[in-house]
Amino acid sequence: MVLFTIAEPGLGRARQVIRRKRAAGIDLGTTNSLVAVAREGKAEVIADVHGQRLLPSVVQYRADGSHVVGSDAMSPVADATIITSSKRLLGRSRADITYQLPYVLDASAQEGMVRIETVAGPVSPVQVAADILQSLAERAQTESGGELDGVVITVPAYFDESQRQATRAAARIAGLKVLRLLNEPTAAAVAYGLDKQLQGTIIIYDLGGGTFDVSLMRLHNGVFEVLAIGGDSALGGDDIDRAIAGWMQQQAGSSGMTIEDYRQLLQQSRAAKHALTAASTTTVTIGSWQTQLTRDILHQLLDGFIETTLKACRRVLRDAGLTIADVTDVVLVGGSTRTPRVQQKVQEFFGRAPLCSINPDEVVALGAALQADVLVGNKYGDAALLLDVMPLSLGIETMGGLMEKIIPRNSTLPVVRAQEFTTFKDGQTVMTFHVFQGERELVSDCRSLARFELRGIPPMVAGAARIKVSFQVDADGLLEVQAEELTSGIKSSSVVKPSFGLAEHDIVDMIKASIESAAADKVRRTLRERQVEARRHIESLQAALQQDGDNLLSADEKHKLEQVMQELAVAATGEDALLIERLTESLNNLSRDFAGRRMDAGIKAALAGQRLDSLGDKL
Amino acid sequence: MAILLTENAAKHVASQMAARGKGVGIRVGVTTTGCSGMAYVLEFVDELNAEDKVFANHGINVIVDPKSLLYLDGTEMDFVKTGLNEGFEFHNPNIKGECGCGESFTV
Amino acid sequence: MSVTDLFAVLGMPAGCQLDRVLLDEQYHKRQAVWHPDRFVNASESEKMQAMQHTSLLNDAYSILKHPLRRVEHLLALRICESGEVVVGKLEPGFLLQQLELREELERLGEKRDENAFARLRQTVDALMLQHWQLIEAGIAKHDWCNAHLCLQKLQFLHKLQEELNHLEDRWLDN
Repeated sequence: MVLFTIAEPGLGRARQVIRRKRAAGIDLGTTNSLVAVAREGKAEVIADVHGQRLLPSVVQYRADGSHVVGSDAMSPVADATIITSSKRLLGRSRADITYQLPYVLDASAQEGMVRIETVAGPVSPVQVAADILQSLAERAQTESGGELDGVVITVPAYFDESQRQATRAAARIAGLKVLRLLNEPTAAAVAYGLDKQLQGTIIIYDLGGGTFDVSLMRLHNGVFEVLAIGGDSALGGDDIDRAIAGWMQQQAGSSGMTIEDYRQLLQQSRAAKHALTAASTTTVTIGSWQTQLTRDILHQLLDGFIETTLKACRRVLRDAGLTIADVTDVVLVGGSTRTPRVQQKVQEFFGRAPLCSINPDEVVALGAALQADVLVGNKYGDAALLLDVMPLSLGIETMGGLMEKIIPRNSTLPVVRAQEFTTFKDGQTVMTFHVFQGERELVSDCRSLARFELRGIPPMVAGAARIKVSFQVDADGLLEVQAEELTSGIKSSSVVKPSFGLAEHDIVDMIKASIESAAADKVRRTLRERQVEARRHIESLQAALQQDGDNLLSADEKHKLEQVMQELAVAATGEDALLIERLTESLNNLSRDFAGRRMDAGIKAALAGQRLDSLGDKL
Repeated sequence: MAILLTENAAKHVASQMAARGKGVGIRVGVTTTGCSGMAYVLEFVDELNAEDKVFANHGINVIVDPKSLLYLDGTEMDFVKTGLNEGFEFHNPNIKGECGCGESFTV
Repeated sequence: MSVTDLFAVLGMPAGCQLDRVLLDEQYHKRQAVWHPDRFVNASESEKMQAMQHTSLLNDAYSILKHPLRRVEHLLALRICESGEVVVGKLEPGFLLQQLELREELERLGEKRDENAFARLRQTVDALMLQHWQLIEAGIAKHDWCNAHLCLQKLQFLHKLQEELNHLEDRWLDN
């Protein structure tokens, strides 16, 4: 919807003083990422200048300090490091990475921190995510014609606190205002609920490149209520690729591959997996060795993973106190649900054909865009209400290394909970709190989130002090902890900084670096904007030429227009923003006359066949 | 042939004209925007041109030049509020395509 | 110490039984107004207020929709209003019965026996129903001591029921 105000006479065209706020939904995926923008309740995925809607989540860092994102980053060049699937490293510690990676982690990084070694020096996975986010934001900005007022970024529902914090940090480095972190399955439900009017008790089965999520939701009259979620934040299509690669290595008896060989082997595995969607067998090779990978072998490799996902579905139903019979629909989300075996197994398990009428690669970004449009303030009608939950329990370490849960999993957000603790030694003045996330009884089996201290407790006998610890989790699933000694009122609080995440000064450094490269980004963005504008002009002029070119233009005029149009079309695929601008301008000037003639012709056509005396009435 | 103003739109035009203190009505029109696109014109009118056509709507004069009228015939102008935003909106039955931002259109 | 009336928070009539459809409706109606998504562009203090109020709504909803926690809350509310100090001790007979039921559960954990499991579940369900009725009667008669005692017993039984569920899940998973 475009709204106008009345201008003073002689200004020419109507002024549009009311700008719709620009918002985008970003699906930051393990393998591919997307950005979508909503307009009047309809969302659309934004393609790049080549018409590609998926942006491969790949970044190439080069020795000269520059970087390339997306498909251009996938082809190896000299003096460059290619980073793929880095979402799996986001908010993780080195100890979490137990599998082979197609790049090297920096072993000298401080305790547990993950840094990827590149020819341009060590890079944090947060920086990689920031570079992908920035590239997507540029697309949306080009499309909507200016800076974004806010974005909704989706995260796997099963992302824990540190992974969410890391995502937020990446957005900050990319200079984006995050309206909300939205769980991927919830975003998918929004797309189905708003676009397809889906209602009932729904299972969202989301198997992506690197993560698996299952959400049980109730959709009713515009309320999207998450009843329970489960999953595995390190299980996805990548693992299937690795399993295929492992099988090939085993069959070929090959070992000791170089990083680059392994990266290519993974690429081949993925291609073989895709090929087996249609074919029953496909040829795979390692060097001169080659064999047939059949669908049966693929199924053997797949079934263990699928069984794990179905167990999670079972647990989610149990958590909500429901059974399979209560489920009215199953929605498939994520590229890995294209695998026929996955669809077949899910159908068998739930006893119904799953829904995938919205492209499973795009549904999350579409839902995020719809919600971003609402959150930024472009509200249409009664906005949907999203009630999401905490994926994993939060608690504190108590005596003996036990996990005392303060917020149980599946609690609806936001949530505030408090619990009282006391001192265990006479005269104790300091108490340390160690915050954990997870379901297990022992803290050693849970994820350490943060440690903080309450100092200055007045000395008392053991057990006399009353220390209230409150946990507050906001609608993004981000935690703030506060401790207070009730008899004295002494307080200490901590916004949880993940133990293995980035320190504040790291983030600030990255933001600085990003501002320094902002000038270069601006040049790049201008170029993209010019390219899009040029293509738009060409398209509309082509349509006009086809309709009226022959009747309204002399052969010479038409030829001239076509010539400039052709020049512009060529320039628009190049990198010279100035040239594109100049050619667009001259095409504009050349075609203005044509547009005027079309308008006159329109009038003539409308008047043709009418008698002069009746014209008096009409005009 | 006609251009229509909803009652709500007329009310807002009237109050804006009163605040402005002068003028005989509002001009609604189209202008070319390069290539094959067109954009709306919406402005106050202090003096009529000879060929202008005037439509009275709820006491408001809507003034259109004959060229524009061909593109605007049957258009209804409304006043809408969406969230924090408010302004005039055109419902033009002659439009075939709108550009991404809705600012220009083709017929 | 005061107790916030969660029935009032959600505009529900206070009682042991409750209309679940009405509860959902009242909760959603309030969430639609107070949810933080409605305050994304508001001031920090408004955001804080929205967050605190929705947390309260979420707490109230999760407590009221859970039968045992609902009764727990109702009783705490009533006892607080009455100003009485309620003390009561579980009789040895009940505790002994609990021990026996737990021993039976342990035996089943070691050796799977579906029939014995079904019998145990039936016994526990019947005991729960019996104590539900006692507690409702206690609240109706303002007999806080007895109601409170029954609630403690219900908590024992509820824990047992949860463990039965866990055992059944373990069997289902294998």
